[in-house]
Amino acid sequence: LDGRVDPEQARFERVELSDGRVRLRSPSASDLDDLVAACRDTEAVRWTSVPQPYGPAEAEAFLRIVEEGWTSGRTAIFFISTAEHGDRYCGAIDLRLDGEGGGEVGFVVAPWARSRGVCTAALRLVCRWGFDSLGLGRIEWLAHVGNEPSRRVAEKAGFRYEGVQRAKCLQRGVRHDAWVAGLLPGELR
Amino acid sequence: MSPRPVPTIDAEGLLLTALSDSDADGLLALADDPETRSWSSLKMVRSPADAADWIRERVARPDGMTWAVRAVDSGELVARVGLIRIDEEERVAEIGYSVRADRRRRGIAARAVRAASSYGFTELGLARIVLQHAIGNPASCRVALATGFAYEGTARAVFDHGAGVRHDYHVHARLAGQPEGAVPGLTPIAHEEIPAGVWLLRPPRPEEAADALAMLTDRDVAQWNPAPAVVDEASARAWLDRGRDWTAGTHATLSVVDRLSGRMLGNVSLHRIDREQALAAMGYRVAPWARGQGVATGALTALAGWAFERLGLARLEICHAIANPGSCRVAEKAGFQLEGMLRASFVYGDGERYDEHFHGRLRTDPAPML
Repeated sequence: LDGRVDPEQARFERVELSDGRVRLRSPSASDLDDLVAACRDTEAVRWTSVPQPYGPAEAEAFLRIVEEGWTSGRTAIFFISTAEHGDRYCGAIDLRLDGEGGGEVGFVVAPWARSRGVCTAALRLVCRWGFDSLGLGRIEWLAHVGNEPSRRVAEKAGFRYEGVQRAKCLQRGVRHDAWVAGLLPGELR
Repeated sequence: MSPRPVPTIDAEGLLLTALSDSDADGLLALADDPETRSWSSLKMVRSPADAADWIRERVARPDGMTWAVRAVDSGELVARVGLIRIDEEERVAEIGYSVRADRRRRGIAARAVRAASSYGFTELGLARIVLQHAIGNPASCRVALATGFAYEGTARAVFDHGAGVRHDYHVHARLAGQPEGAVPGLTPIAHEEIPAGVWLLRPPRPEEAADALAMLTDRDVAQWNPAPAVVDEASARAWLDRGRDWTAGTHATLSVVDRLSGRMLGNVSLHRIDREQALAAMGYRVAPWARGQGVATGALTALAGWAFERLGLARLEICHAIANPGSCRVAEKAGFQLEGMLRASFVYGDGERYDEHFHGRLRTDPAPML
């Protein structure tokens, strides 16, 4: 996606990313149990719009969404894993092209992988890929107001807080205000 | 390969029969209409001899079948319908039709399309029939959606109708075994006119091309709300066609016109409409001849009210470059609160990324005092 490509038409190819410790990979059928467990975790339920209740059917539907995203070339959803967790599912992170030369990130970490810098490393990998390989001019992060753990991760990677979008996010029938932060090329830490 | 036999089909009060040489006059009457000339393959038919040539060519085609659609009582030709590019190996074909100008809005196209596609599925064993139409021809879109042809997407720059611009086309298709009734799934937004005080918001029209071109090439508009594809009246018409096409349900674009003079003064839009999340973004342009009269504020306020009420949206957003302070005043006046600043968030007309303000208005916010 260099400057000659119309951002509206920009698409990416399937890819895996790694920094030697944290690996961003495609899902596999063996992730299903971990995915179900992670999406039933109270923090995930509190801050994301995962369906509730969450069971194997919801997990399988999510794998189809992941596949459709890669096929579209517009929404990249990676599963996060690490060597120390034996390549087990440790969370998911996505990058969505906005069609105007920018992207939006979102992520969720499994309870067994929190507070170890796994998510920050995953976010750095995705943003590096977005700027260097996809040529994005800006990456945006949104989270429900009050989601401090997500905000700490974003700020560690260099995102800068920009404002609150009122009633931006619909979560299981309830609207929440959203924090917005932006990361520009050269600001990634 | 020899021409295909074309059987007679009884179709809900219409009779579909093989087209023959004796239909030349009827076909000429069908072709002699601006709509038909704009959108169909009959556009070259201007004399009885042209009509006879067109019929001979169609009848001889081994990969097509064309029916004359007749009123059962009088037997006169009121429409034509055809399956073309029939590929029996791939089991696909395309359908096309025209209805005589004085017989429109009676469901003739829908009945003819149902009958011909039913023949294609059952007798020819087709798996898929495609219906394509120029996006500036919403009547065909209604026919497609009413007869089970699901909207699949917009193919770009498919065909030049003669003005030097290749028009975008909707691709609709119906698959074997799918119902012939209206298509579920897609949420197209129905065209509507929205009153806004002394102005009227209405779907863009091709006759606004000269004014649209003048507006879009104005220096301020070209910088802060660019439409770089528009360089002449033909490309302005194509741009108006895209604005008029609300089928995908992701945008509703309207021209702002003066109720008295009928002149276009600007445009206003809902875009990035997300029905599931109940969100949309808004934008507007004001023509240089209509500035300083509150056009933008009035149009935004009217369209926002419509979006909350008719589309059930919960939140509307406006982003504008901070370097363009006029838009900030308009947004505030139209009840969009300033919520923050996005850094380097949009590429404007000069190719540079600019910092933007973002404003939001919620359905639950108080209405602005105008």
